[in-house]
Amino acid sequence: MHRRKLLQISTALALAVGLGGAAQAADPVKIGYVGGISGACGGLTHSAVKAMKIALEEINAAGGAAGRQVEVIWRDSKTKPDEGAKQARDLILTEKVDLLTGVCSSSVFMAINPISQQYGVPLISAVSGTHKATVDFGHPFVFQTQPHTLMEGKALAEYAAQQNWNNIVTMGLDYEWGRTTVKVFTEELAKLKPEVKISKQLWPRIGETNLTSYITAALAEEPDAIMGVLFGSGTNSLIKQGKSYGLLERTKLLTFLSTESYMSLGKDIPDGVHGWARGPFYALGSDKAKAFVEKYRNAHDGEYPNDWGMLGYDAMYIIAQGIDAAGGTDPEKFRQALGSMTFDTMRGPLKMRMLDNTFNAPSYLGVTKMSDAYPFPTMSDVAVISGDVTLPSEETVKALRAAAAK
Amino acid sequence: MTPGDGTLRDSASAPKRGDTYSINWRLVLSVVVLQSILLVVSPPLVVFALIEVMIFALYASALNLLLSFSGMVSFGHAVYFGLGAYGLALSITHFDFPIALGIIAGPLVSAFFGLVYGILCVQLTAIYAAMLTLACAEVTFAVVFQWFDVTGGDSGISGHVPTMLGLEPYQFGLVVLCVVTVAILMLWRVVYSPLGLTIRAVGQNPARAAALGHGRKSVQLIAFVISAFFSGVAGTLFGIFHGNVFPDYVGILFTVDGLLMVVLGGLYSFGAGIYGAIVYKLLDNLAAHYFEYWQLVIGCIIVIVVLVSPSGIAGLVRRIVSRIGPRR
Amino acid sequence: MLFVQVLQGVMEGIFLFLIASGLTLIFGVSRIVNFAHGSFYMVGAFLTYQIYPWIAEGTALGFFATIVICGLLVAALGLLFEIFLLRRVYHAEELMQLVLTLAAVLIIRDATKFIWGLDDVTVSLPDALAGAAVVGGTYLPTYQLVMVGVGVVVLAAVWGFLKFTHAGIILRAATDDRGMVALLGINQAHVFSSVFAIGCFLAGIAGGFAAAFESINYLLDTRVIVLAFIVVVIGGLGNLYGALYASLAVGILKALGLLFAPRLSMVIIFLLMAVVLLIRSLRRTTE
Repeated sequence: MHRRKLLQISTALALAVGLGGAAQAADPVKIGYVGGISGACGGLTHSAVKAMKIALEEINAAGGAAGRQVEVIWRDSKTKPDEGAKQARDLILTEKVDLLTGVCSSSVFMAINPISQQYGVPLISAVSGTHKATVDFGHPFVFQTQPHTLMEGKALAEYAAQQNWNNIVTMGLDYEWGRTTVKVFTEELAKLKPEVKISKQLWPRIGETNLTSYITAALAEEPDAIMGVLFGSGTNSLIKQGKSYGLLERTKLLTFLSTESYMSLGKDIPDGVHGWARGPFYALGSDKAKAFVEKYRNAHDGEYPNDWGMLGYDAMYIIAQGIDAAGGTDPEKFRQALGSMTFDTMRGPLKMRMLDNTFNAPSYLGVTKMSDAYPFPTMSDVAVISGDVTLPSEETVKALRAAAAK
Repeated sequence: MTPGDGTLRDSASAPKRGDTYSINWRLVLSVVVLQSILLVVSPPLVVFALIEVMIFALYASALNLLLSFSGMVSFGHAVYFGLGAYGLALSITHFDFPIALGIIAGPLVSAFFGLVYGILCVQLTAIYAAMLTLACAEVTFAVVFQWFDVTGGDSGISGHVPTMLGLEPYQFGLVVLCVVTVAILMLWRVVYSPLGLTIRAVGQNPARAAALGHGRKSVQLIAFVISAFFSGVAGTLFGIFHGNVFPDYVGILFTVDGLLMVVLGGLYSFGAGIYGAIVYKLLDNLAAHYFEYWQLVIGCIIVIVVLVSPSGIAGLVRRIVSRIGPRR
Repeated sequence: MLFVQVLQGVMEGIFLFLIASGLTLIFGVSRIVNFAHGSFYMVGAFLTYQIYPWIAEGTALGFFATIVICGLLVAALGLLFEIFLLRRVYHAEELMQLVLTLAAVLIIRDATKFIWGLDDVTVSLPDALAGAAVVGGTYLPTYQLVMVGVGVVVLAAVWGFLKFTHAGIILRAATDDRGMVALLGINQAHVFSSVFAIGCFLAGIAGGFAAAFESINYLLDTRVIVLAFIVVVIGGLGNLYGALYASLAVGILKALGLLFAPRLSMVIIFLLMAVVLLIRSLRRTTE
């Protein structure tokens, strides 16, 4: 009787363990995606979602991550911080996701960041530019795979220092991104090339698309170059409206020019604009990038991926390979794995530093030129400024963290 | 539909003599008990949703004081909501207030701005006043959004207060329930006090109210400040709930949310804010979850409500209750 | 420098007037504060993007023809909105009317997203309009000069219509006293519908001109509506000429503001609005 009971129990136990083990092997890795599918980020995010879906398919076809299939649950933050926070919480608590990714605007990133910290669920930002989440308010489980504001400001300064520009007017959107980028740019440029004069700083309001009075005010300084920190419709309007003021004949223009601007402006982008980008598909020579672009175009009526698509695809692979190397989704092991590997991405080999979980993602700068290969102009002579150059120093990171902790 | 039957439903009727809208304690108590039980037994996610609805119920009810009773339209009420959260955050980060004091500061900041903007806005009437509230809101948003050295810009302020004060979700939910219940009861007292009578009189017919010696401007200003204060209470709670604050909280979307809630809930009824918050948040969550074009869905529902049932959900509830309830 | 900025402001102001004129006309007659005006403007812009390639793309004539067609299409859309929805709330509270137009904003925005997607699109200017006249070192872009011309034509057309045509006289009468017009046996519904269609036509052509001037996407509606309202309110709701002066004032203030107080240019405009409103209310009470 006694022995039989023991046998029963042990059989039950063995079964349970066996079943549990089997269940675990079959359990997919769950990733929660929170991004601005609708709202202000909608125009940027859709390409990232498409690209991440392609990456996901490939990863699963190749056996998944750490021997498990990868499943992504897609959620719309509506580009609202409270909505993003709500979705992130829901993903963690009801969907029990192992990791979070996505994010577009700084506010949503900042709103999700403490939730990731609170529940110890890693958050891998694919497409958000603020440095505050990883630097100022960094915690062990927040990661950034694209160049952030501090890095981009420095990359711009590096590029501008190489040009023959001694009198520059800046035109940054009047909010955090524009202001911070211009500030870092100005500071770094003063270190690299002290003789450069910033003769005027203009601050168009975000959403402002009639930039003509800014253009005339900038041109009145007769600058060697205008440095624009605008995006999307801002950049497009600046280029379009600048044309009739002879902006490019009278000065040079350096501005943020991501792929969707080329696509929407088409031949309205004149040759000779200095552009800066985060993931221009046409400038990435690797086979990996070419294969991806081909696949993306086939799946989406010949449409090209924008910068955010490239970043999203890379991020998905970084996550999967990180999980593979960590042998699972344990946050600390995942972090260690990310920090010890070199990732072969479409943007070349990328490494993450453990100080602030930031990847040495490059910035791309070049000059626009009508291309034969695409129905829109692209950048030629692209200078790749590596994140190794632009990542903020350890002192800077520590100082910003100390200030944030106060 | 009989006025004075003391439930939380009310009619659009003009103030009458002997208008004693006493609080139906039985109803309040049962709602509170029911809600407490829900908060304690539900999984965290439902608790979060309940907290959100409660906070918005207070915000919409505060806005409703203006829309339904004082004859004013505010096109920038998110300002008073969001400034509550900013008052809390800035008093802690910039003035080193302890958290308890910061929580008190939040609604007071809202009330202060309600006073300043209110003084301007009550000088005007109808659509001109509404436009001025919009202008005030736009200026406030611009300052909050652009002055990032102080306000943190679009990455906001976080870390100044532990999310939900470090309490368990259900515990914080109970705190919110207490605050919101007390606040809504206070709003009820305001609407059905002699002061409320004056507010409603001014809202319905300023000329006659003036003939009775109640100046429109001062009465509307009082209503405006009260509304701003309670919006600030809601905003402060929201700031604690999320542990952060962003310019979005003072932005146009939160204003529109509030307006739509009140209209959905049913204009000229005290319960509009409560009903509206429940249904709007439910719709918002469901539509966004299942349908990419959720704004289209909400827009269509609003059109239907405006055209078919202008008295909103409150009107619907009244009709149902009067049909199945005891006839009097 | 100052002169250039003032000139710039005038050109910007005239463009604002194109948007604001329709809004103020509609309010003047039907007392509807139409939040969906920006949405109709956006639809006009996207329609221009859609239709221009079909109608002699690259020529100035084709461009103007496109814009007129788009204006008419938007007017038709507005008419549908007025007849089927707005007409039912003319006697409801102001708030109901506002909320109805707000709902239209939500619906039109999502419909735009559905039809034209989320990406920015632009329309290339026809070559004939792309250049600039250079006068003493000052650039006067052809397109902006054309817009000034369009603004003048619109103003003259609306003025002539109001002044000399029978329908215009009824509209003016309706602006002054709706009740009296109704008493005279004139069908108010027709008056309201036609003025709404005219307003939407103006919004549509303004959108068409914007499509060739800036970059358009589904967020265009909110970008213009607040500024348009400010102009209309400063000019006096329902006052066409007021809207013209206000547009010019706002345009010039914006252009000069960024020289002297770059961060305050919007605040200055809002202050102008507050001051104008308060002075007007003060004058009314002292009279």
